[in-house]
Amino acid sequence: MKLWLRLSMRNVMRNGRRTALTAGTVLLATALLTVAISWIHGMFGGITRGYTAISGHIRVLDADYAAREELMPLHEAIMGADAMAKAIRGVKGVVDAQPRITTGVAITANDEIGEEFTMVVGATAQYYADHLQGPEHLVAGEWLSGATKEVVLGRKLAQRVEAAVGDEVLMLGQTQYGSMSPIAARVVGIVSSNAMVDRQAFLPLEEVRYLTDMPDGAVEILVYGASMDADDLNPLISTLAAHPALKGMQVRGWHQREPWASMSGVLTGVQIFIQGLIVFVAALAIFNTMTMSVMERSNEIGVMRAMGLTRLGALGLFVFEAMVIGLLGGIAGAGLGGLGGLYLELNGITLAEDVVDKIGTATPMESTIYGDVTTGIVLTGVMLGLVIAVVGAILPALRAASIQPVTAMRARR
Amino acid sequence: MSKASLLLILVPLLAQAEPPTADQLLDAMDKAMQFQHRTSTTTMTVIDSRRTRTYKLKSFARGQTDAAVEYLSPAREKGTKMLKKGDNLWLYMPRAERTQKISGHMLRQGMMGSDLSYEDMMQASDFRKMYSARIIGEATLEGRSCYKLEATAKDSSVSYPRRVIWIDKETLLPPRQELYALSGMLLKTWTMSDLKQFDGRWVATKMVLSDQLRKGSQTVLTIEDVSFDVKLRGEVFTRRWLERK
Repeated sequence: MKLWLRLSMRNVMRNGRRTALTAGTVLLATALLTVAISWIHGMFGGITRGYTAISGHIRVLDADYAAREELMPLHEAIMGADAMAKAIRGVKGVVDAQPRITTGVAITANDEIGEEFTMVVGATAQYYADHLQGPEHLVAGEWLSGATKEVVLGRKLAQRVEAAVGDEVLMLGQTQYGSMSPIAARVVGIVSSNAMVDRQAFLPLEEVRYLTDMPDGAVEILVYGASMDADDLNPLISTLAAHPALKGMQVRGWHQREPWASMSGVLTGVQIFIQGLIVFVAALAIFNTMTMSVMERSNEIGVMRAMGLTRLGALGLFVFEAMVIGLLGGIAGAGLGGLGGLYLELNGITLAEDVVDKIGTATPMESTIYGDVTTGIVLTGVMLGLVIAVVGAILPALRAASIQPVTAMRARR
Repeated sequence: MSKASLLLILVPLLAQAEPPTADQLLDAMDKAMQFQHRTSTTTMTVIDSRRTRTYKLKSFARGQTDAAVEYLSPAREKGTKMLKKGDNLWLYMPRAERTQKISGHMLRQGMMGSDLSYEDMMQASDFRKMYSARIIGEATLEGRSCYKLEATAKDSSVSYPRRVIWIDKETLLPPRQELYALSGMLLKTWTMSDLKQFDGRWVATKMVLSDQLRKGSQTVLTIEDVSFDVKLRGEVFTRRWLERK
């Protein structure tokens, strides 16, 4: 092993310019990869954190409502939601449980209604302050004071209906029985936080309960645990599902709901694809270096083989050489990529509004996407440098191992 | 419409040696459903797969263009009023204390969650003008002999591009209609039954609408009383009437 390392280091230093160029390729590939993974993690993490803050770590809703959720069948909502939320708050591991109503309405700030539709959210002041963090994201006016006939509009929604603070808007929804139900309210604030919040209207829970004719009702109860980590939530989900007060309810963690359930698979797929692509391109550089090295040193290998170096020894010699280059490039690249990731974590990349619109309004995506660089991501970068080296070196090394001493000697003569 | 005027429609059709044309039938159907003034009290029962709810409403109509509806019950909807003038529809909601013009996509939504859309409510009985038709056969519906017509909209502004209409040979009312989308999909069925005579004209006192896109949904309109050609105060068809408590 010591001999291999010594020989590898000597060979690495033999052609310094070529080694530097190859290590540079690995460095660039690793740095790119580290930044890309940091950004993807940051984006996914930001969306999931935003989503779980808004929609709870765990969501409890009537099983019949859940079965037809896209139709928003209000008559299948939870009745006696306050008592149920109280019972959930008493479960060990539950930090908070909040009833919430979301329903579709037509909305207008002028004399005509029927062109603009939105989702109206009805929730408690505590939900708005602690979870939605609405008051922190106000861009104009104030948050709901608790009085009736007040509404806070998302920034995009306010633009769409041409409403400003102080204007009166009319929202026309439906009761749980399907009857038309209006609410006229004064816009007290405009909020901007993410693509989802920016398109919704926010009212006190009791107002939306009146609108939907669901006294003490809620579409869902949003449950918050100590952490949003799926492994931590799973036992709590099982406990809640077995709770007698939640009979007939569907209890789902955020990670079990679409699109998140399939999104983590997509994320892994995208990550593997990017990794594969970068490894392939960088491995070509290693392959080139090692092939040239094998061709240059075939006589030397022949002599060493004649002196007793085994085929495995010859293979190891070149793989080690490549690993040294890969490690050097990998460490430097992961370090550089880590710095890039850190920059993204602090400053983010701001996307144009129409890009955010195209990506989707059903997710709480923010227009500035921040990176999320972790030790794990940096270590992955270093490991990938080594993987690149081994993948690129394996074919030339096999070729070196297959050199017969006699052939090499003849070639020398 | 008086008996005499109904005879004026029926006699020429019945007296013809040759069967009537589709256009003549549409014309006759329009005339059987048109009026100068109408006042009625109707019960609207909306039935879906899970529950039934009932509304009582008073409606007023003047010619083919003006109509007004006031909800009398239940308590939550009491005082809600709608006014149709030509192609415009306004809604007064007492809780919001606002009069609002209804437009766009909302016109296609069910009135009070029923199978009857605002557009259906606004539609004038002017089939001859809106559709070109052909007779596709004859059929018997609940013991009554009918012509069966296929009507195709003359322009794209019409809510239902195609209708299949059964026209009662005696009353010239349509006991059944099937309303189709441009794609050929059946959107709604509309039946009229329980014929009674009011002021000398036939009125179907029961109408059943079923939106085929809403499974298990049905809206039954039962006319409790109706009077024709009693001249209405002009104020009914104004926004002032809408907001009057």
